[in-house]
This record gives sequence, C-alpha cells and structure tokens, in this order.
Amino acid sequence: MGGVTVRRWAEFASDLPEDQIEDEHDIVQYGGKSVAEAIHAVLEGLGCAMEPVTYAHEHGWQFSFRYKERGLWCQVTLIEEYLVVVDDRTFFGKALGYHPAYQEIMTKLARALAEHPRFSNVRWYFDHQVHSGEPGAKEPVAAA
Amino acid sequence: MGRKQGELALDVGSLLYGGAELKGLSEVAKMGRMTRAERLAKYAAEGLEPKFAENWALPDVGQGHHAFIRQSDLLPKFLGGGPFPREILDHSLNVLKPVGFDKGQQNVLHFKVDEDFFGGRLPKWVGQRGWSGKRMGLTKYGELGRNWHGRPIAARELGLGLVELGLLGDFGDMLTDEEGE
Repeated sequence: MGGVTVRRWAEFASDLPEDQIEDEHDIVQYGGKSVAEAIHAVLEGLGCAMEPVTYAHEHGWQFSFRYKERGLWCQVTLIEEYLVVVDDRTFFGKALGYHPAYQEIMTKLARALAEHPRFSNVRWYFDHQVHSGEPGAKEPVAAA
Repeated sequence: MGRKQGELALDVGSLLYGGAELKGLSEVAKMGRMTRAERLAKYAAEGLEPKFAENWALPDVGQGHHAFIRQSDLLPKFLGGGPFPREILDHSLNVLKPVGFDKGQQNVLHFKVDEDFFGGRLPKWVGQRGWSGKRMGLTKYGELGRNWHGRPIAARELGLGLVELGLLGDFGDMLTDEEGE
C-alpha cells in the first residue's frame, strides 16, 4: 500500500452543457450536473457500484460509489473549468496508505477521462496545487 | 465555602477560555450585522470589481458548511449504508452558517474551513466566470484550524457550556475537595 502518492483533484474543460440555472439576481442551481453524470457513467463502465448523482449546492454535484468494496466519493464543481475530486472516504483509509482499489480506479478513471470525447486538457493535482498555476500531472497515481 | 471556590474556578475558566470564545462569537455576530453599504465598501477596499462585490454582498442563501457529517458521508452498512437523513445532516450542530453573513463572508469562511471547497461560479451579470479562493490570495486552515474554526456556531455555544460546566466545574470541585474542608 505504501510508497505511492495520489493526486485526488482533476481540472479540465468540457463541451457538455454547464446546466447552471440563474434568476435575475443570482445562481439558483450551480452547474456541473452533465459532467457529473458523464463521470458517473464512466465509473459505472469501469465496474463500480454507483449511488445516484445528487446536488451539493455550492460544492456542485456529487455521488458515492464502491470499487472492489471500497467506499469512494466524487464531487464536480464548475468554477472556471470543472474541478473534480475523487476521494477514499473510508475511516482510517489514508492513515493506512492509499488502498490498492483506490489507486486502481484512479488510474483507470484518468485514462478514461483523457480519452473521453467531451473532456479536454485533463490535469491532476495534489490539494496544495489546486489553482496554484502549476501545470498538473497526466496521471493521478505515482511512486512517492 | 467549597461551593464558592468551585464557582470562582468556573468564572476564571470562563474568562480564560470562554472569554476568547465569546469574543470570537461576538466578532462573527458583528460581521453578520453589517449594512449593505458597509459590505460593499469592505469588498471594494479588498479590490473586488463592483459587480463581483455586489454579488458577494447579497445575503447568503447557501446550505452552509457541513462540519462533522459531510454530505458525502454514508450511514454504516448495518444502518442501511445510505445517505444520512437531512434532519441530522442539516442540524444546526452540524452546519456552520453564521446568521446574517453575506455570500462573500460565507464563501471565504467556507473556503478556509473546507478541504473540498475551492471556489465557485458567479452569475453571468457579474461578467466574471467564477472565483477561486487561492487565486484571491486566501489560504486554507490546516487540520487543527479547520476543526477549530469550522465548528458550527451552535456547537461552539454548546462547547462553551460543556467546558464550563463539565471540565472546569469538575476541576473546581476537585479544588474544593482538597482545600475547602
């Protein structure tokens, strides 16, 4: 389990509808639903057991899923581009190192997003690198 | 006599710990009572574009920051494994959403205390697609700071009471038992 780092954040552009709903004053519903649903479909195709996509207000859209019995979570926030986080929310999960199932699905997801016809310029980041101006990595999982 | 000493210890504790907590809560309450003009002036002084400032000075109608049980958390398998009921998730003891805060105040606070919140979109009339806390020069709290500053107001108030009546009260009683007889 040890000796590996995982960039849990991805940023990318998409030509899918933004889905943001506004009235004359402010945002009524934050965007990102279509992108969340597209990632949801990708993960389902990769063999994950999916919970439905739900609205998370300022956070955007989110869903929980399981890969090889590991409980994971994904959030999609539309800022300037789409900012996505995929995390292992299992209690003590990170304290014991990144679980092999988490590493495996992150690697598979990165490949699927890079090849997805509706997404472009996918970059992966550690927490401290998000919106830092750093170029990001092509792969989320790397040797420490 | 012993009782009096216990009460004194409790009051001193109030000043040392609760005093700082009350000051913090008083600052939060003061921020929530600002007029719209004061809010616009504050954001202008911080360098926000006028339309951005106008949007951030709107009353916050968001859901707040879920401190202890996050929206993404699922019930344990033996309880069905589904999402937590909204009554628990959105309880005032779990949500940090200070009264009277505008969008900007809540966004800044939310950015600082939530490791999964980095910014958001703005409505089209603002003329700026979105805001990023990092790009605005804000910094996130570390783990300890997130836990401390991310506590819901109701939990802070309850925590204050628990510390006074529990730990310090017990400490006061201990002093009484040893010295008061």
